[in-house]
Amino acid sequence: MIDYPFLAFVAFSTIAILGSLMVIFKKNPVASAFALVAVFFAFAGLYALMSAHLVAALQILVYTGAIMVLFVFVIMLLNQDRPVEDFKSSSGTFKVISGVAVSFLVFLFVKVAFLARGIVPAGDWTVEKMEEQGGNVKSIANALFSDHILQFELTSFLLLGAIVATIAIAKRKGSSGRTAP
Amino acid sequence: MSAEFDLLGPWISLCAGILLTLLISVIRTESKRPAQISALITVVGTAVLSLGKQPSEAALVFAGSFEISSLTLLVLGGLCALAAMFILGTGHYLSRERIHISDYYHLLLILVLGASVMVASRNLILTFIALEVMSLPAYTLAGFRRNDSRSNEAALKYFILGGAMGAVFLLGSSFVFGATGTLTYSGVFSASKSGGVMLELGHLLLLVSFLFKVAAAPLHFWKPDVYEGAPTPVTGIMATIITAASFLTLVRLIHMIDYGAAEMGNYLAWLKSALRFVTVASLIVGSTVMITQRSLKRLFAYSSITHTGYLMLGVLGSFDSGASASSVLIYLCGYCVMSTGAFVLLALSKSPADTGTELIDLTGLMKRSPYLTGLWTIFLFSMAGMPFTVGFFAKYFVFMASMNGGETVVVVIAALCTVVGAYAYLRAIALMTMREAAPTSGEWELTPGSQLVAVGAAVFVLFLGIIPNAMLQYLKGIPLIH
Repeated sequence: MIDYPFLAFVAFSTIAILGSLMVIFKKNPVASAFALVAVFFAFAGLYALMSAHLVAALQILVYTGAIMVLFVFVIMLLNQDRPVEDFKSSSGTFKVISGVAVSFLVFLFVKVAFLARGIVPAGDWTVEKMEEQGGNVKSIANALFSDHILQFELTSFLLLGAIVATIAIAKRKGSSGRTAP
Repeated sequence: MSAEFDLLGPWISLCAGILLTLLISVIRTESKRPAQISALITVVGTAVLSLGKQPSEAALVFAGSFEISSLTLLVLGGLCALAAMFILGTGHYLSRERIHISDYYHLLLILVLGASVMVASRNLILTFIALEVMSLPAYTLAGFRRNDSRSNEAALKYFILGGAMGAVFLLGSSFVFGATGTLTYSGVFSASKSGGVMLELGHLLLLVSFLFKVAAAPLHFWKPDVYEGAPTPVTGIMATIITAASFLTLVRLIHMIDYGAAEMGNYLAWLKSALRFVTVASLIVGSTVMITQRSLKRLFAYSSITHTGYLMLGVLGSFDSGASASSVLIYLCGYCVMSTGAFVLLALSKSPADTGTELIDLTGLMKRSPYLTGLWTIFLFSMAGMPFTVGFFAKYFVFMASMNGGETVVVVIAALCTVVGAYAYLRAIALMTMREAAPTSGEWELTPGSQLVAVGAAVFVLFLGIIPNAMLQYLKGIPLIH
């Protein structure tokens, strides 16, 4: 008997890992952006495997649909579609230190992953409990607009701050003497 | 739910002030003065509202996500008071640098909102969002001097590293959530009794992101560059408002775990030695590098790294008795006021921004302005921890807290570092009083607003240094951890 969910998990994880490596190592920004699209799709697949279908759908709608379009738009506006060549190559010491640090982190995460294999999901948000509450959409909506309303409201101030910050930076290009409202 | 919103009064008045300031700056585009006044009224009003009511018991609202207690109201009031001091004391710097625009005040208010919510938060998601609400304006404000490449460098460095550390915090939250199934601090506290490696790793990642925010060595590399590049008032805001809020949140995150449980015994021992290392490293790196600096902003950056070390002493003491945690509050209170005074004075320097204010600009200040020299001396003495200033009592209490926690070796190292650090501060005072002004020494200009703030801060520093009892009793009665 073939374990299809496990096979799918392996496939999606491989795509996600290879894709994120490509995001970093591709010299062409557009290629990086499209590798990121692949990563987002793989993540959506992983979420769906965990029965979080709403999150999977939102992942594709928000990230792949909206955010990636913005990314590509910015790349287009900045005219950065050619490979970037003038990166300074980093020093040998830096490479050794970051190599050691990265391998230590990978080792740590792999070790924790093995140690944590037996952990059973706890709390109110397991698959079974969400089924009882009426499924994905209903339980997420309930949590978002009752217990987590404060987080939801505070996010609006985050966005407001981000908009003002963007305008404050972008509007004063050129001489700093010309003040923006 | 409406009753819960009622309790949020002071925070909502701050939010209303933010929106009002934005509206005013949109309507009155030709002048920045209305926005400045509106921001000032907002922070003063919020401070009065929040310090005016002192609930005897902590109330948790929104499913345990948000704490309304004497601590969180004090923090909101204190941060608003600091913001008021900066708004009042540094307007002339902004005008001189041609960055006096309404957006500055709007972003500053949002920063204060994020900082105060972060301390009051008892839920990891809320902490994260508040952290971002606080950090995003800070990244922008650090880069406000657009034509200065160092200001741009500071903003970019702060943004990229801060963003990465935000991701580390999220990763930690997801590990904690995976291990315990809950995001509230109290839920994690009760679930931590059974231990588990995933919870420990998650908790550690949470701590790393906040140790970065308070720039504890070895996560301090960003601080000197960012401090130097950012406009002086913004550096001051980072040194006081952001450091205070981040440190208080760090203390609460550290005590999110029930260390009494037998399963967490190993982790506690390990965590304590890691924090001991961080403490000693911050103290040694900060105080030794500080004496080699010529730029005043870099000097204060390393000085604030040592202050992080002293604050960590209080944290080390807090594992055995929660009462020791109040030493952190006392230290932060003194540190914020003396730093605000020092940065308001630093913003008075008229030396060209491209080199920054250096120690040489202080030479012979006694002859030029004895008044300014006196103010500088008070703040520098307080930072060095001299008696009769609030800095002395602040250091005394964190040392005592750490001694009571059995950290004798760390306290001895800290005492030695105090001596090394005192050299840097006393040298600055000696340059002001005993040397003639060099031809290249920059000018200092006094303005009414900055005088008011600096004198107020100096009086506070001296008053608490001579008669500390009332304040100490008040601060000791405020529970920092539960």
